[in-house]
Amino acid sequence: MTSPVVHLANSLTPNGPAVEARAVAKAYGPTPAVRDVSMTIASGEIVAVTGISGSGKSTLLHCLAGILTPDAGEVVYRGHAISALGERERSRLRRTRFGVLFQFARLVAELSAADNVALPLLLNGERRAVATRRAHDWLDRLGVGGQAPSTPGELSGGQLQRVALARALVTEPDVLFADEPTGALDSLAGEQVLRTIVGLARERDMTVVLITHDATVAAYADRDVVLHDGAVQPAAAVRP
Amino acid sequence: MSAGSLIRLALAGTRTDRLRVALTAFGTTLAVFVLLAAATVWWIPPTEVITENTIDRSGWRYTSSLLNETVTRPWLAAALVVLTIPALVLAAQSARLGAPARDRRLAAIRLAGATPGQVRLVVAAETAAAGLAGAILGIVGYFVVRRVAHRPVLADAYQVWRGEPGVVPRKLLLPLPTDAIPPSWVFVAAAAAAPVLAALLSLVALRRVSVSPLAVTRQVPHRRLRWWPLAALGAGILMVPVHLAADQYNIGDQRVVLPVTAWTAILLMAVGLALSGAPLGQLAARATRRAARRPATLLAAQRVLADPWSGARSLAVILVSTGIGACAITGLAILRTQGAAAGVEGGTVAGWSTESGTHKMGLAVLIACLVTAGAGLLCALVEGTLARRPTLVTLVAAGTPRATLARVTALQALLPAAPAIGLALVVGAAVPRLPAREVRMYDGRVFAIPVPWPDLLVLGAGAFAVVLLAVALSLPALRASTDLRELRTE
Repeated sequence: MTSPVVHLANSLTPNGPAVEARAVAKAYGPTPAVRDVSMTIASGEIVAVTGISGSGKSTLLHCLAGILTPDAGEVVYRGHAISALGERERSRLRRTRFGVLFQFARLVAELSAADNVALPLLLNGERRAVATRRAHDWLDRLGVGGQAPSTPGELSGGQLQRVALARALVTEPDVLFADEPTGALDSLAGEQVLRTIVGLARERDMTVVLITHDATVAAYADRDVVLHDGAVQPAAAVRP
Repeated sequence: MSAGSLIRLALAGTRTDRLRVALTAFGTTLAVFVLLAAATVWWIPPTEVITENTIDRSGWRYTSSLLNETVTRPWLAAALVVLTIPALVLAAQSARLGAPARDRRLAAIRLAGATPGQVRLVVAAETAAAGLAGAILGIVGYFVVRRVAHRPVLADAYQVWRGEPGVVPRKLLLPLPTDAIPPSWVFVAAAAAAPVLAALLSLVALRRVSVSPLAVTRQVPHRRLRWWPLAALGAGILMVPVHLAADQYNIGDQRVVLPVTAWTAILLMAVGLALSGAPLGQLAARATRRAARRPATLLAAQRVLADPWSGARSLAVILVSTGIGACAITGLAILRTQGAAAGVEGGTVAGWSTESGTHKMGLAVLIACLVTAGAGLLCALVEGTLARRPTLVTLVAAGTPRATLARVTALQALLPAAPAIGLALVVGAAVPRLPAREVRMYDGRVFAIPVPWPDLLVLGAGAFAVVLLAVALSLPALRASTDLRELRTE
């Protein structure tokens, strides 16, 4: 019998839009966080979801990444409605097809930087030697190879976020979801992280959904989607 | 700072803070209750008149011979005092529950201008208030149990028993010493000592913590492998042959040498066994980390290596209980072999009633110690989960199955517990057999002392079951801490 995820992998359509939100709504108790949001994100596109604090950006990202299930509407990844999947299947999807990056790195304090990066591969059943080698490759690539044996407590904010980025990218995801990835960094470190994300996205044709309230961060994206009170504002700007 | 402000600040916490206060109070309640029970046994009025040749048992008035016999009462009181240790460990362990939330509160109090000393006072006041509440509950519970349990039952009486077989008359006897009561100063002392002791324990727990106005920082615990608990255990075991040799060859003043060698051996073994969980856990974690192929194993091994003393106090109680239990089981096998050799039917050379009572008491104390230690271990596991909440919820958001994190929790508890419980069983079963593995009779007959495998296996399984139960009960906290809806509030 084919497992739901294998079935999902077989049914994905590589040439269509990467991610679609179709009339997605999500509320926390009586308070609506996202209201009737529809959007399409093309394959390889970098989209910035912007808006003021409390506008529903993070909730939308959590719905798009399959972290939360919407109360209404559906989220479609490569032609397959992921909001209809169970938690287990969505977990596996996040582990294999998506990369998730948050404002704070939140690495496992007890593991070295290399082990932190290798963790998603180990969860996917990769052999430890292979996982460790690939983790070192990614750390080198992001300029923190020298910090591979260090634990998170021994790293600076910028280094932590690079290690977290390596952890999100080590599975070579199809879509990277980044929630305020530079919110906890100074402008220089933030710029370095953003340049890295954009460079890798272009190089690997990776789709990126970037949540930010900062216009300078949104400027790195191909397109803005502005949220206000949980709904998409009509004036979406497309950058050349 | 006024006392009112101090208490207000100490008790101004969240639901987790209130849970911590409740658990600390529960641990103190248990400790005070058991301490009062021990005092009651100690202050039982005489039940026997012992002369040079006879023992008059006409004053026996309890169903248990442990309470009736003058010789066994101090041991029963001592066993009850021992029970207060896991209860106090539970109180100390629960004092760390929800530490991250409390740490933020402490930092905020510092930011508002409190000195480090005032912050320590706030923490001590919180635990002392919980300790006082626990002590009062313990005293109230003691009087409630006295009232409820004061129901004499018709049972065999041994007042005419002289050791020879005969018809034992029946009379009304008390199941518990509800006719005895310790002096009033004992209650005052218990009510005063419990909060002071609880406050001192919380200050000891804060010794590695520095509270600044911006954050609470903890000194990194010493992660190097500490061999000394295993060395102490080895030295204690080596001391047993020294003690036996001193006895056999009449070395030195026997009144001094024998107690010194015996107590040195017992204390070294008890301390070594109690603290062996950390070094054995480190050794197991190192081996596991090298061989780890699965993420749960790697994470658990790293956690143990990063903080080998996590939950060590509760594990210490489990290990000492297991060691003493194994020792008692083997000792009983020796006594039974001696009884069989002497021709006593189906028992030891001690009286049946006393033996049965001792078994029940020993078993009850052992189970109570294991269960209370299990509760302490549960607190340690939940505290570990709550402290790692942001990381755990991020891992789940990135696709880590909760089952993997549950396996991490189980392995983290079992890596130190499995080898240490095994060691406690081996040491407890081996030490009583060091003097002899057989009973030699004057007529040349030899009786081999069997290893009581089934009883030892049941004891080991019971100790493991306590650890696994603590792990299982901590899993709802893991599930609640990794609820993905919490991501937006982190």
